[in-house]
Amino acid sequence: MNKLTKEDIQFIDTYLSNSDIQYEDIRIEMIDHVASEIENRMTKGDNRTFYDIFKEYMVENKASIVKEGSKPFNWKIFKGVSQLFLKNLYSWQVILGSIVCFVIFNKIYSYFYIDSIWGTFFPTFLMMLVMFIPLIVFGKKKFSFIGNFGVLVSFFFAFNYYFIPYLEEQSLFYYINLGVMTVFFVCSLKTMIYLVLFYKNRFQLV
Amino acid sequence: MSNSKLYKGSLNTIILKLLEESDKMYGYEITQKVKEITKGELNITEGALYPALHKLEAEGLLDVEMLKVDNRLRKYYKLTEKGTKETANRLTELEEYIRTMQTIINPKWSIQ
Repeated sequence: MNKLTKEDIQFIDTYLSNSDIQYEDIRIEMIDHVASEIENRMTKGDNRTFYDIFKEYMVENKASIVKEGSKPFNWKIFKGVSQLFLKNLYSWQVILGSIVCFVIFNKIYSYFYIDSIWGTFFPTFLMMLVMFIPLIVFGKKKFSFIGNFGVLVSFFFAFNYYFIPYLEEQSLFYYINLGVMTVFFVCSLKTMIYLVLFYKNRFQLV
Repeated sequence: MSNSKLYKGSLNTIILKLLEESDKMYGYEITQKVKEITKGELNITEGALYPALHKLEAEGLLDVEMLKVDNRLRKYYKLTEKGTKETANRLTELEEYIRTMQTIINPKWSIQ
């Protein structure tokens, strides 16, 4: 059985990356698929160079590979990550963490006399920091579930932005809004930690 | 996928059936196995296979194992306990579907 070299694998990786298959988890599987097919053709007696067989394979199959692999948003993945988020909402860590954070945020606001319009500043700012966790752990590497989770978090930012003009200090609505954003932040943190550990373990990247 | 849309509806069941017969399989191996069994009649493309595998994984029917093989990472799929039960259900469903279709296409057979 003919085997491709590290350089050949790197070539496929670079080619697929340049073809907009940016998610590492999707690309790893595609690399193996393409490499296996090329090795299979070589083993069956194709005497051409790696590059020639690769070129022929890509002419035949690139559309099919890129069609699914290059989507930055995938409904099925988004649904999966949303279900994970909803499941985490009911965990004791999120419930306890939200209560603690809610009390801390209110203490800080009352201590510094922060205006009601900035009432949701802390949970939204911290939620933004949560989105930087994969960048710190994985660098430029992107993963499908984390990418689609970013879409979900952007809805929370939109939710907050929409209600900012209606915030009035000491009103029930103000506290509800702050509470909801605090829960979103804590649950986002838990979900992100889960996803980062999941990818870290699965791909043994770090 | 092959030339017919009819196969598409059965792709998940085909994958589950193949995984039931072996300990674990990777994507390319599944396409080659299908090609071999059907003597080239059914050709599953990457664009059809991987979304189906990811969906089955998300549903908790498949478990995944990553192994380093020949200078690259390979993702192996295997049935979970839930997947094993679901395979039996889906195969029964598919067999019933085939029987029903036969009675429609060949009514004479259904008399027997």
